[in-house]
Amino acid sequence: MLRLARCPRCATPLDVAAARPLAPCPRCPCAVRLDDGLALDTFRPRDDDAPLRLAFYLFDRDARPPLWAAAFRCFQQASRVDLDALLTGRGHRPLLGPAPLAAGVARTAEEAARLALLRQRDPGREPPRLCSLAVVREGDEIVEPVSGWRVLASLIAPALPAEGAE
Amino acid sequence: MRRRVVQLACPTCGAALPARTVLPGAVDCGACGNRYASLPAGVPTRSLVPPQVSPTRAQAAALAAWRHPLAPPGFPGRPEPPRLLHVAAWEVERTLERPRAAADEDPLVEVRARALAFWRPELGLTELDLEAALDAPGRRPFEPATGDAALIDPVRTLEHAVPPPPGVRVVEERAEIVFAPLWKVRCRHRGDAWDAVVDGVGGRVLFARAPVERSARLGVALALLLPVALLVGLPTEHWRSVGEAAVRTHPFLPLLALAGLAGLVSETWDRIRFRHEWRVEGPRASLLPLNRPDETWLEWMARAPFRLFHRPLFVPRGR
Repeated sequence: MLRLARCPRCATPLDVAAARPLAPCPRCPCAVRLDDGLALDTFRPRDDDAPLRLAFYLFDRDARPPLWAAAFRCFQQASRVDLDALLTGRGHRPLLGPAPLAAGVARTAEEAARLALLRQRDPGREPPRLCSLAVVREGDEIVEPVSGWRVLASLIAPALPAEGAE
Repeated sequence: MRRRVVQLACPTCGAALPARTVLPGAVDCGACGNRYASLPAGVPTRSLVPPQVSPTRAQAAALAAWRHPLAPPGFPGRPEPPRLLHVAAWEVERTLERPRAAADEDPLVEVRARALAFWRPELGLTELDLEAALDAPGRRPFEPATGDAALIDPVRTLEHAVPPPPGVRVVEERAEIVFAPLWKVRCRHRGDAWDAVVDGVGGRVLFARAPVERSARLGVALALLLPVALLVGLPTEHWRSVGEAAVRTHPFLPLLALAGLAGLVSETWDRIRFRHEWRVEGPRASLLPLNRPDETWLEWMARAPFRLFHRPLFVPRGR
């Protein structure tokens, strides 16, 4: 199957070689779903330009409390200390604005909703928003400032940019 | 086997696309310049880790591994330029559902597993630090049309190399073939080729073979025989006193001593009789007989005490 690998909005070539399900556009606020070429809007908290970021799906339509679902993978994380559970538990709801995602995406919105259901969290019926949150590198680890969640950077997939390449 | 021929054409202008379109990744149309994502169903992504070790450093590591006290004169001489190999490994990301998770536990767990998708004993792959090799920086999409490195494709399937853990359900899975770099250094000596394999990321020697000079082994063999000769040369009445002293120390000591002496004689005979080679496998170096037939049970018994040390008898400490 061949799909045009340029952003449908700004024609920037996309990084499709890793064959992840979505390719975020580096220039405009969208990510292209590779199986059908559909462009999804992407968001960030306003005034947040940190270079190191993690991608999430935010299910917060229908006036529900926000439900965060990681769009990245974090290996060997035990029990309820996962970052999306922490953000959901805090009811974190930043003001989001359209912005390039600047983070890798490991799963589609449908897959994220299915995993949320398996975790007994109801994602609702409305499609989520794809957004990214800033993280800070501290040595070999990265820290999410809102929740204080901390993990080895090497356990994240898609891999974060190397130090100095940010 | 039936094969199907598919014409690969640009969906925009109809020009022929390169054959690498059969692999996942990006492909540019040479005619209209459009870039496409190639997404063949069921074909895992391929990527490649570039070597972090220069050919010069790989050659220096190989030379250090080849130098040993029993090497023939003139060995290793000047090795051939190192050759880059890329060996295939599977990297799989899985989300698993645990069947009986406790109430305060997440029923889902994400794991990443890696395993070599290829096996060949002479590459010393057991010594390869696969995690470090695949975590090395600069991993890039595999481009079959570029580079002159030899590529060793996977021969083990994903299910065989990285089976999912039993008793759990795989909810998500993403598999990738990653090619890890190795340097193969070769030198020729008296008509034979001797290879060393160096980890292309860590720079460690994984496997190396080197010739052994036969005459150099003679001195070691004679030194091994010396304790036997001294014992045999003792006057007969002293044998008895030595035996009694040994029994007083421990009842089994004379038996162990006899087995040890038999092992010494056997090892000496092996040194003289058979061809040997010097073999380096990761941090271990050993002297191995090449044309030696399988051990008899008597020889096995005689060498049993030395197996406690997990190494061949009296390996010279050359490294």
